[in-house]
Amino acid sequence: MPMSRTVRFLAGGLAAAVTAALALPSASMGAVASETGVSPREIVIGSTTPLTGPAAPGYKELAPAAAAYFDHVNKNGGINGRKIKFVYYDDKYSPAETKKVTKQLILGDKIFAMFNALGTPPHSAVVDDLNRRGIPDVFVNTGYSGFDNVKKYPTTFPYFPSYVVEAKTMAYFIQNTPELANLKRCLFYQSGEFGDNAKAGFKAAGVDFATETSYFSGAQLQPLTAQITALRSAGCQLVVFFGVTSATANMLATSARAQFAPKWLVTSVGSDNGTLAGLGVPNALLEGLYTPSFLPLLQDTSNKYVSETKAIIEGAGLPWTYYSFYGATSAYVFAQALKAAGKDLTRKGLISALETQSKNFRTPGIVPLVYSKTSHLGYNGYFMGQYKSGLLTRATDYIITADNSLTSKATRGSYTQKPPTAKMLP
Amino acid sequence: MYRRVIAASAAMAMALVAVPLASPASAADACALGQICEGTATGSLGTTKWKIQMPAANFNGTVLLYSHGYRVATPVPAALATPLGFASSPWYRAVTVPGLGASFVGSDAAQVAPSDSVANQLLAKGYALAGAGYATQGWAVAEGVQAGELLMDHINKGGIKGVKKIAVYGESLGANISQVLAERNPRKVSGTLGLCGAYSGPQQLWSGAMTVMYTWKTLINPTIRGANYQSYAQALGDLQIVLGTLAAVGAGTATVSPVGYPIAQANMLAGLMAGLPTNSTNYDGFANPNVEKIGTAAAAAQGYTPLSAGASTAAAMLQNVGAAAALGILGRWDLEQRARVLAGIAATDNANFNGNLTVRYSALLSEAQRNEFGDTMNAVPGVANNLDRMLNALDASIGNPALRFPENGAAVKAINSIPTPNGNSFRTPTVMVTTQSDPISPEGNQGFMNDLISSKLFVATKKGRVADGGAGRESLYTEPVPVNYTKYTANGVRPDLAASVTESGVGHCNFRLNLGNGAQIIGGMDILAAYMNKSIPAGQKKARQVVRSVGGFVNDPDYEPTPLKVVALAK
Repeated sequence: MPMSRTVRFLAGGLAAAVTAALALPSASMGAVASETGVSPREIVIGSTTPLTGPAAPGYKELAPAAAAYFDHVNKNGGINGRKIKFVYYDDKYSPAETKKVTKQLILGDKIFAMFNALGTPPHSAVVDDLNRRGIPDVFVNTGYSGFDNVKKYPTTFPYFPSYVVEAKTMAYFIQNTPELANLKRCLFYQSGEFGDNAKAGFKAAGVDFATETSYFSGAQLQPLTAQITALRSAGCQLVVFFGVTSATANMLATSARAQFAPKWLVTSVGSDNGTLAGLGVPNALLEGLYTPSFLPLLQDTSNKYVSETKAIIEGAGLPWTYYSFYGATSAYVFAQALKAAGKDLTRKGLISALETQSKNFRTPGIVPLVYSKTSHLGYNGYFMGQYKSGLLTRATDYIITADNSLTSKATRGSYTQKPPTAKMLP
Repeated sequence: MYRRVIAASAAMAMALVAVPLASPASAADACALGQICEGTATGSLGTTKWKIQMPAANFNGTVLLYSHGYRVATPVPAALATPLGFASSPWYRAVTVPGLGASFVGSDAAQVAPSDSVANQLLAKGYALAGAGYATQGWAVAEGVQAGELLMDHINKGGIKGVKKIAVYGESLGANISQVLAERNPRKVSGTLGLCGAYSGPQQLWSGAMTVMYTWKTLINPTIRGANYQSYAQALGDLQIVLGTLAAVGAGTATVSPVGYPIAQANMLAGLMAGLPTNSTNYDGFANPNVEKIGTAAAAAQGYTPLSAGASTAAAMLQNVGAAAALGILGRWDLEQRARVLAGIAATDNANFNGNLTVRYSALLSEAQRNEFGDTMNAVPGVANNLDRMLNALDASIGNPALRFPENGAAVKAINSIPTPNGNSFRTPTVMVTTQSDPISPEGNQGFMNDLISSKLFVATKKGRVADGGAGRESLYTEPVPVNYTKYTANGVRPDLAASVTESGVGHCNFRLNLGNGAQIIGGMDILAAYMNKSIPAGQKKARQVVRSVGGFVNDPDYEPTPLKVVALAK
């Protein structure tokens, strides 16, 4: 029905009667024969992600890698007989652009589901609308803990561990690592929800800091001299950093110039060595830096997730990086959810499959992927990694798990990763 | 052009139930084809001018009775009236006032259409046009309704021959008047077209204004009075402060307020909490494309502005608050004066009709707004967590009558007694059209009206509540131009503010001229005609056709406007 009509009903149970009274065409009533974006031969899914602009380094590799994986699935028969059509647009990490291209995905491309939409500010501009329309919003690429809210965002499924979970796991690691526990620790964070989430996690874990300093988003490439001077003057021996990758690069470079060399514990979203190298950070500055991770190590080709995904990525002519690994493997998990939703694919069926069958999915994580009817948490923890000679290595042979509660701490856990299916097909 | 502001005459007599007193027209008074007929009618609220304009030929039997939008009742000095558009408006007249000098004030001239172009197109379709001035200006719903009823009586008693139907239509405040006319006169009114209606009424509209003014008083300029104006000079003083500060920020001569807060971010917070749009006539809310190429920091070093999408919205909010300031301040003066008259409140007593003593302002900033624009509001060099700092300052005075604005119950009661739409016209075909981005009457007003009508579609019977049926209804939202409309100067550094003002489709009743002058309004009338003259399916078919053929409408069956910010939920 190509028009704008808004007849909202205050009494949901009476909506059908009202609709009949207004004699609206059936298309506006949701009683349609087939699900939007699903045809006998195709499933249309969409994504918004920065392919250009300041946020593109690293992140721009995600969607092409996912597309490469979907091509792999399509070449091997698709999912329940349907090929996946993956449409993704560059939103430049700009919420206004995100609104614009999301509208195109919903009304123009008529997507069945949103997949891997990236960034808290951009996604916040559309998440309410996606949920209101009942569009599955699967594996959102942001650690904002607020998206794990089944009541408010019933169709939204975060994927990687939230910043609250990450802060709690960092706190556990600090408290249970003799080398770090007694160091004078300080916090350097990005103002706003990113830093707020981190601080909430540390507070829940009972970890406080001798000194806190911050920068604001947009200033990550401006001089951080004042912040580094403050950290150095306070005698910080361990600096926990919650900021984006470009800020990490700036911080490490500024500290090196100031001959300030504390132990660093850096958020996973700001510590990818490939992206840091692209920003001019030499491996020497990363040596010994701790950072959490939940995926297998890229160099561990004995891990089937690594070796199989690497073949798909390199077969598609894409660079083999942490982000291409992440993008392709999250697409693999999504493909399993689509298959689990059955041949009569519906949006409700996909959400139900994620909530009730995810424990059966083969996932690349070193930690469990947790979805239920009451929680859309996603991966629930990390192992601690440490850079040595330019490679991320495991600093813990255990994992640390947590949830988004602001009253509980992280705990030490164990998890045995199941191997992927043959050819990583769902 | 700012066309709709409210004001008041303290001396007005306001009976809230209109009692038409005009003498009926005789057959000899009938306005003939091709003629323009004018006259006056007197009711309990005063004398109003009216005007009828007949088509040259082929009268189709339907009279369109127009209710105009706000006109300021109190003279506004030229220095303020000119930037607000009053000085160039045909509906304002120049006056010289002792103490104010050359000023402009809303006229009482009758108006039959939003513009001459729309009038001519409607006449060409065979409609007869009618419209009234109001006995007083300002938030003149009661006066407008009485004027409309007087005019309908005149028409029905021979003022126009061959009348089969009367449909009411109006813009902004006039949409409210039209709606109330339809609700009160179901047997006389056959259809309603509301354009950019301010349906939620003065309590809701001025709670948004209160949010802006309280934020300004707390974070930007403590000398702002904000409410309970005891002289017109106080209101003009507030307007001068707001417009002067916005101009200084725009010119780059003011950045930090005397109380230490960044003005642009504080104003952005005010607008977001009040539910104003995140784009404006000049700023589309998108990042400068050149910034996207070179990065924020590099762009800052090279003098680019606005730097990011959030900064574009901050700039847009300067414009939006400027556009809303006259309504927020002069309109409050008008309403408080009305409250004083209606409730007998002395000039020195409190006339505030919407208090904010217990409002927790941080609750008005939604999670989505915080996430989307938090980075911009935190972007203050040398200040950590600026957004929380501002919100904490706003919330710190909860319960403090010296820093907040307590209400006077008598004033509340008086303002609530002014007629507002109630949805009871659900059996009358109704079409509503508004712009998506309207800083004066946000699009949520139209959603509010839709809900109000829907809530009346069930009636209690012995068998329980059943659907009544209701008439055909369409709610259309117009979109900005489809491409990013902020244009940049040749070197790409700064926005070119003259480039696309009239084409953006953003602003109060700023329908897209580039689709044909008034085409979206005419389209709305065509839809209403199909509902009135044919059937619900015919109206729906016409609506689809109009959306396709005119363009610039939201083409989304599941579209919902951004809801209004309800301050009561934050108390």
